Amino acid sequence: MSIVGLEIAKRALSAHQTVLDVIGHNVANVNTEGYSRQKVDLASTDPVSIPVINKYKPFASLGTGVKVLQIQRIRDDFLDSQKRDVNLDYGTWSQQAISYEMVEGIFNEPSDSGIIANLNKFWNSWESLAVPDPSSSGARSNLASQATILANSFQVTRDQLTDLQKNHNADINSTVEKINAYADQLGILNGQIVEAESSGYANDLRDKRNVIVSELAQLVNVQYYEDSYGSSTVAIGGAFIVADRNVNHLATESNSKNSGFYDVIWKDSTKLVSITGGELYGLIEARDTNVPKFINYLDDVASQLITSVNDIHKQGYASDGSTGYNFFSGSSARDIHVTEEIKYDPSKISASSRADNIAGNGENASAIANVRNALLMDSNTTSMDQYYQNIISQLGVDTAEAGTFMETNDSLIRQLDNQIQSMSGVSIDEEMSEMIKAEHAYSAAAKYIQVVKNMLDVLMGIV
Amino acid sequence: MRITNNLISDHVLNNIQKGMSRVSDLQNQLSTGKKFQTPSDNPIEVSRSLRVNDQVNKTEQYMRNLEVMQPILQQSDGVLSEITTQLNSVDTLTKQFLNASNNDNYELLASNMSEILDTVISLANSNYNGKYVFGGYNTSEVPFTREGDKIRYNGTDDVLTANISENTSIDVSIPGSSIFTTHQILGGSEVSSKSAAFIPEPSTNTFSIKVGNMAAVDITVNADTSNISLQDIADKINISGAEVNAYVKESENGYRLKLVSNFVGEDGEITLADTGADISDGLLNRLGLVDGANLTSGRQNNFNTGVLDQMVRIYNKMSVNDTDIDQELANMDLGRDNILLNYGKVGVMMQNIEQKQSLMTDMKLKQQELLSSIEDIDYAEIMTELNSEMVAYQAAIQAGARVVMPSLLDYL
Repeated sequence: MSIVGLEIAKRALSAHQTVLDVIGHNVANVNTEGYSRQKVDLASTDPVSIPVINKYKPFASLGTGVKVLQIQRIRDDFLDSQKRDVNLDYGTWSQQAISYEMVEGIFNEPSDSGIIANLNKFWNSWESLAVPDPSSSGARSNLASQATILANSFQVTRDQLTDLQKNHNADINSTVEKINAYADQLGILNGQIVEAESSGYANDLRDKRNVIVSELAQLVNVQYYEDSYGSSTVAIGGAFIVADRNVNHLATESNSKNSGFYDVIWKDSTKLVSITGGELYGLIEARDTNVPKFINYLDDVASQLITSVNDIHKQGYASDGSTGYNFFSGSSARDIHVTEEIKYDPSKISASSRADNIAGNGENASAIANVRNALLMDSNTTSMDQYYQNIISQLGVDTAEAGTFMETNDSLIRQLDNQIQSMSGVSIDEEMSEMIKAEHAYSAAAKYIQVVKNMLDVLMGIV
Repeated sequence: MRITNNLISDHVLNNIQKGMSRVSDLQNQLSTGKKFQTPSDNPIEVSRSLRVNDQVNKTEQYMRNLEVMQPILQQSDGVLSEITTQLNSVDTLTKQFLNASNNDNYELLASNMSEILDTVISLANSNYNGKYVFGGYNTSEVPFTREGDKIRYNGTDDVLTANISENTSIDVSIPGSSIFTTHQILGGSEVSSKSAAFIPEPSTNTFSIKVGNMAAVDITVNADTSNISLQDIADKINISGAEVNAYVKESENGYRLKLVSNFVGEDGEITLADTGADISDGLLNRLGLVDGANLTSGRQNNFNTGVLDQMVRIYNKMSVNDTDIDQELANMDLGRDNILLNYGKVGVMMQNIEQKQSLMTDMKLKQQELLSSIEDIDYAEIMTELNSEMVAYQAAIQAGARVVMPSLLDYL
């Protein structure tokens, strides 16, 4: 009987030792990303029947101590799947928000050096040429250099926008590589988890896998399933990227129809991957939709500027009475230039409306200055200046919108993280109080051993 | 809710970061003085600010347009005033010449006349910054040159204009042709009264007025229905739609009909012709305006009454002691009137410019006020906000320091 007591005490000691071990493990991982606190489930061992003196029930059930039932991982899978959704939206918008902010930086408005300021100076130079002295070489060379600055700022802005597209393209490539690396890790973890879980729960491996899936969900739209053996399947647009230990890699392929930019394809089947969210989608959207939109706007203004100014300029007369000169060459923001004739010989600026008596005739210059007010854009409803202002406010709205979506999702992530932390995070205070409980239980069990020993000693003394 | 250590430190960090970003935002506003740095900070306000900025910019340019024209008009004003003074000396000179006792001195008087003529021409040729003021668009060539007994005008009839708003421009110069060489007709017989009826026969008179290349306008004067006076004829011409202004001009012995073309240069050339059944007895013929035998040669009376032209004629007659200069003097008077008229016009233009300038200065001020209300921060407000944000920020740090530190461990 006392021997049974020793066994009970031994079980209690070892169970609480395990409890203390788990507490130690929890405290050690208090700062580990994605770590879920673990909890030891204790249960009483099966009782034994002992004979008692009772007429009706001659046997009693005697407890035999405690055992460790399982080490449980405290985790809510629903919160994790919610977080994957929010991560996806965050990824989509964060990349676009960053891209828009870059576009804003490129346009650099409102400022004294943006295209609006240069357009203003350009129109004003025409106005200043028209009155009081259209023959003034100072006013002419001023106009030529303002026009050169304007053309240059169109080109630089456009070049920077296409550079931004190229950067996004490179980012798409590295994101695909990142996705592949995560997929590889998931494949390996799946194997480890299945192996470990043949005998018990692979708590820490699952935490690791969770972190990776969560990261992956921020990069691209993934569907995630776990099976009952502990393995998992990750799919993008219905096709598997990870199925158990098998990994289907993504790849990039340059598309000649889209300026040689990358398409994202499946490495094996070379089919296009259906991408609808995440950072990868954000980058593709920025590269193929958002940035080109502003490149087109810029081209619209530049090409209207070129044709409108040229149309009037060609009808005018230069200082020497010659006529028919273009003021700008090119057809869009990409190649807008002040023509060589004008650039190197501002006397070719055709300010006059007639071939004779040119010196004081600034009618043509005045007509060109009035182009700024002409309703030429948007099916003749807005002037070039207004159109450009609309571009800037459109950019502001788009940037603010992407930024707001990013921030909203960021705070959703924070909220979910709080909930996850609240459920699965390690609280030192809690662990300490659990530790005290376990420690006391341990000392009590030890004390019990001493009592049993004393009893045995007494018994042995008699013998 | 179960609170863990990481949760607390996350919260603390998040709060501190939020505080810091607000402080940095306010700091940014304070150091730039603007409410927004990029369009996304406030898209609507930014687009308003861009629009108003554009208006300010345009207003500034329109103000510059007026500013550069002002000294040119001031110069015109001075020159015209000086020319009228010079014309007064012509009066004195011709009076001396017509006074028989001075006739012996005609050569001296003629040379004085020539000097005055040169002075007036050089005034008419005045320039501002090397650009001739009265040359129309031809600012690089001397507008008036004296070629023997003729004065050649080298300029154009164009008026310089300056844009003062998106759709409006104002005239800021007068071409020399308008000032010194206007097409006018004054001549024929003098009539004793401008309102008394005259010329009863024949009962119906018709004549035509043709200006430049425009279609001739026919005018019918019917003596049967009303008593026709010189003033009635002038009125009929004025309502006829012909591009001339008709006046009754008082002269020494009575009244004459005066026609002033609305146009200058060749476009303003007036041709008069009788067109009735009996043209040899036409109204104009009887007024002595056209020669009945040669109806289309109305041009012969189409004097160039520009003062310069008349001064040359007077000089020519003076130098041969020909005292028959009545017609020239009459024309000179018309020319002087025309100069005074243009002198007045220049005054009105200057006034107009000054008015527009003060209007635009007000407008610019208002636009800038609006701009400032859109994009400038209220320093006091932002400073106060910054102070309270700083307090909140410091509180967050201190609270964080207190909350993160203790744990049960401290008490075991």
